[in-house]
Amino acid sequence: MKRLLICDDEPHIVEGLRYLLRSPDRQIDVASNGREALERIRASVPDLLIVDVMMPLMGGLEVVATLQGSPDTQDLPIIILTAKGQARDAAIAQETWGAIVMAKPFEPRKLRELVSTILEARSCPARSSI
Amino acid sequence: MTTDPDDPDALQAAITHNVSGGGIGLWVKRNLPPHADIYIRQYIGRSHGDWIPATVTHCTLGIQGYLVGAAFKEPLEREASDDVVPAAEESRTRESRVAAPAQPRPVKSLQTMTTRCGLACAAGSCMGVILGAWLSMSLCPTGWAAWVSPFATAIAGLIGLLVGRLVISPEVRFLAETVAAIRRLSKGEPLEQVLPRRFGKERAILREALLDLERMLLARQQHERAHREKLEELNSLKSNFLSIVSHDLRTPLTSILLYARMLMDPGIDLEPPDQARFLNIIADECTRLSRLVDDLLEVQRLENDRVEWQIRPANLAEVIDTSIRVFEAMAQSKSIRLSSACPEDLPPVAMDSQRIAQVINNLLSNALKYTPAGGAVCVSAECSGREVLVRVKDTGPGIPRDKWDEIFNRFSQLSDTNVSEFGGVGLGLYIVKWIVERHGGAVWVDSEVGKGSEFCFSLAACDRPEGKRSADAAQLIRRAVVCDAAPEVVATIAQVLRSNGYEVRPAHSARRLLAHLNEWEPELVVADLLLPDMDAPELLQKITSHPRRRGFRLIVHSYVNSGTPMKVPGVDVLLVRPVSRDELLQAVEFVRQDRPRKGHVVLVVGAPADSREPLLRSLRQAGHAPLAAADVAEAALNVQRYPVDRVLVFDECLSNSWPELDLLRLEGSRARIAVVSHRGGRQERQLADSHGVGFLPCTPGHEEHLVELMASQTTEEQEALTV
Repeated sequence: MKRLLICDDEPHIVEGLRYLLRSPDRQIDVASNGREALERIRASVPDLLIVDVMMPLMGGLEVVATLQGSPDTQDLPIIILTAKGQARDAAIAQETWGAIVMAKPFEPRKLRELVSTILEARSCPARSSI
Repeated sequence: MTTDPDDPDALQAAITHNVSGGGIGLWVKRNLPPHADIYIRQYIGRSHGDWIPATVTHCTLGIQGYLVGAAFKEPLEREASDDVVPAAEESRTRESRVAAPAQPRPVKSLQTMTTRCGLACAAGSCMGVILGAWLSMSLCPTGWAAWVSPFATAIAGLIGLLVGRLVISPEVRFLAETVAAIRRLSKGEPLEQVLPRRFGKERAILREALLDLERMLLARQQHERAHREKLEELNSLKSNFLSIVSHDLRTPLTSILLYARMLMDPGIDLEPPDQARFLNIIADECTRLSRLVDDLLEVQRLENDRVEWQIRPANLAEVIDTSIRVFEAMAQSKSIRLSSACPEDLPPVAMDSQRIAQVINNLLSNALKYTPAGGAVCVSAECSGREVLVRVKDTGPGIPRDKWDEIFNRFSQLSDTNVSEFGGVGLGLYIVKWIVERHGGAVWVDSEVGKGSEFCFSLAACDRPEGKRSADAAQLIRRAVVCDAAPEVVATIAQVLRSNGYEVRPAHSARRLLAHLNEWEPELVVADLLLPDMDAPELLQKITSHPRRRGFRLIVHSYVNSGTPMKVPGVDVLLVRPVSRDELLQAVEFVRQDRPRKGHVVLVVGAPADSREPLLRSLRQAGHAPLAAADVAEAALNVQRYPVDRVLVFDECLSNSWPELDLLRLEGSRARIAVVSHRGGRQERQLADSHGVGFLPCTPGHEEHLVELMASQTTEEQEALTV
């Protein structure tokens, strides 16, 4: 079972993503701001984090920076969603931390494929180790 | 290609093209202002042509530097132009140099000037000798002078040359050193270092002139920097605004695209209820988009004053009820308790009902958006003085104090960080502010982080039919700005002022206070000078030197006891906290009187109840500004607070031998004290003398005579002073 964490302050987007990415072998958690997301990750590290940039209390880039600073979460794959006119900050996050940046509005099919690719890539080392 | 231009200020330039001898296009390394005079000459190898004067026609930043268009001042001859301005294909092997703008042709050595002056003297001497020889020859025709004169002429010329050089050389040297000093100064060396060492008197003059020049340049630089900073600020506001608008447009678009694609995707198996839900979400997000576009257009209309206002008396409670009904469903879906509280006797309010509904809807929509499930939102209205206050209170996350003013601002309501504390508020609050202020009201927020926010706006209540008195009073409505960093203090003071017929605008920062002073022209300013964004002395200086200073009265209230109003010049009343409601009312009452022009601020202490009012009235009639205090302790406070000129103490409130009078002698106070005695005996007069205070005997019931007595005493004192 793969665990996904979706973090966005827009309930409609969270709901839509949950529907778009659902699959029998995936468990999808949601958080509505950065702080909530960090709390959930601290409790248990998911296999993929999808995070929005502009959110109340704590923004997505801060979440990414915090996760990169901790050895437990350094390798957590992250997809950053950004609706800002200039996605410059997100681009910096991409360069610095290797996070994947998707500009809103994104093509849902592309996001679904991307998520599948990442999750499969993550399960490969596990399989080889068996 | 040469690399050593003999003029250090010359710019190297690559010629791009020439315009048939009349102009030229070239790349240079620094910006040249339009119409600047420049000189161009051509270099081929180490040889170069003449300097040709030209004028800059345009200069734009390009890939290789600045692309300059320049027109030659005089038309070049065909051959010359071909010679000086290389053709395009040759431009890589040839290079031109452009002298710095306004750079004169290089001045030839100043040494030659000295020589020229010496030669002039020599020529003068020679001519003098020849004239002398000619005269002596005509007077003494023996002819010996004819032999002597060539030698004399040569010697005189030589002496003239030497003397001329000697006389003129310090001046020329000074001139040379002046030129050198200006050159060094323009390269940024400090003034004291570049000044010539000698020439005491001339040095001082030169120093003054250069200092003036330096000051002028500095002022211009500062002006330009301020201008640039202002432009940069505006530009960043604009970018920020665009970024916010684009964020707010993209978010609903993302939802729409997401759900529409899912509906279209054959790979996703959707249940019929899900399909309906998705379509609903798409419709909702479309509404949201169109609302945002409406808001943008609305702001445009409001700002360009293209809104037709229909302001007439209307029932505010009805408007609030309608809004509550609109939001009931939304509140229920979020499990938020939504309530309203309007008193039945709420007076009608002069307003454009549709616009005020828009205000309440915007505030309610924000409140519901930010209040978490299980919270409460309440809309209430109340009558306060001549105003009706509407409050929208929520139990949301609250707004930090430094954002209170900002959130009503069009551009900066969203911080440009990636944390959208107020994300999606959009233009709602800005529109609220516009509409309320257009009604002559004010809007403000009071909030505590973690507990909730209360948005409050005020509207003028209409006169009730029987309210003839209030109609008169309405004409007396005056404007006041109340400024304090603490909102509860502002609210309390504002309430006192409103119930006294003032229209009040709150401010929580010095910046806001000064903005109100400029834009709104209030008659009264009640301010705490300890504000987060400006030092107290600076703020006080800005207020008291305001061009409209005669137009408003200033009450300063503060925790800091900085002495009497005399020590804080320009302040009408200085209240040290804590201040009671009555004390505040007294201060307001005091500043409501006209500023005493000829008269004084007179403090009446301990006057018996029956004689107090007549005395205060007589004082007012005589052009004084009276104040009253029950006893000496209260009077002492008043001397600290008001710019008191005279204190009249009735001896009834003093104990034996009047020790209390010392309480009234405060450092920095100019108040002159006089004791009023109804007994008026010799003993009292002696006591007054021993205390060094004035003495005014008075028959009970004839207190109005005190005014004349006081005036005559003042004149006597003045005469005594002049003698």
